[in-house]
Amino acid sequence: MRSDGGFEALGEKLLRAGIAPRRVKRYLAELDDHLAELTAREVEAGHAPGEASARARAALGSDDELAQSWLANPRLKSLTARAPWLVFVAAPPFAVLAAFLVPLLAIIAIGKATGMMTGPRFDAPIWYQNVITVLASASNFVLPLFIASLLVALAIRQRVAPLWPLVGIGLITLLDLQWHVVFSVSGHSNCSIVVGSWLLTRHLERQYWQLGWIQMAVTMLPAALLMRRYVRP
Amino acid sequence: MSSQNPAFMAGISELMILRLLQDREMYGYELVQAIRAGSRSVLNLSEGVVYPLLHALEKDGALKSRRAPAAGRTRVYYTLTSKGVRRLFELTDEWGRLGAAVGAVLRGGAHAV
Repeated sequence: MRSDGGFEALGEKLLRAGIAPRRVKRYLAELDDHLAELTAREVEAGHAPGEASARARAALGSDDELAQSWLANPRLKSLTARAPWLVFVAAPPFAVLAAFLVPLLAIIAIGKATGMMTGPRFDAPIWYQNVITVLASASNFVLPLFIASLLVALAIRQRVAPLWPLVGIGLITLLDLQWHVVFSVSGHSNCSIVVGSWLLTRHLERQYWQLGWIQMAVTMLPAALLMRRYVRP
Repeated sequence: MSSQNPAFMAGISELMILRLLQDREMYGYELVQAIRAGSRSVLNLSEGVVYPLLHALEKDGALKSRRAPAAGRTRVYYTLTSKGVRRLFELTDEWGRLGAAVGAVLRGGAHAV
């Protein structure tokens, strides 16, 4: 985290202790400003700029002193630091569910808006079938990748142990392979729209598993990048 | 004095900060200097205590902050909210009663049962 006054090490220490990044960023900005004011006062008192700067930094206290009260106050820690299980384990299933529901709702909304689902026959034109394919693919590939990337970004930004995002991404991958949402078009008994793979229990044929492997690889890509960062920082 | 009894000092720091911000908005450096000057250097709160306290009070809703540029840097100004005013009255009352109680014991006019 950038600091004009050389407080990067302090910032890193606070981040590793679980203090919310936005608070750390603001604290460093406040310290930069504070140090500049102290330095100006020392210069006014007749000290040379170099000496004034050193005296001001000494007056501000050591990094340990500047961090002490933050570390003693658990309320200033981020939610990720206080409850990593909530962010990395409990929240991902809801995010995956949303990744299925949002495209499905979009498909339904388009179908209803164009009158396709309200008429006596449900003949989906090609463009609508393409829309379904694109949105269903987004729910299978893009949105889980986005959620997994979000977990990794959060873990890196808040210096969380890599195990937490890895657990979260593992969970997302499993749910992405298994979960599905079915929408039956009312009045059309043979017509339903399915979003999701349903792979682990139903589609055991080899052709579906090829798709499943791709799905797994895409979702777990951020985990691989995370591990690479820890192996080669 | 700043290094003695942190819990006790935290109470004093909170009261001082809320009281100073009751008059006008201030930023961290100003607050530290105002407390030092106002207490004739008896209370010498360190920056490492003042800033986390400001953040905690803001999180509690007792303060609100705004950023403003100052000489190419970012300066964060704090002001008291209505919740902060209520908190100030509570703390002032608490410290008043505590001071009176301590004063009474020191004068020797009261005996604990």
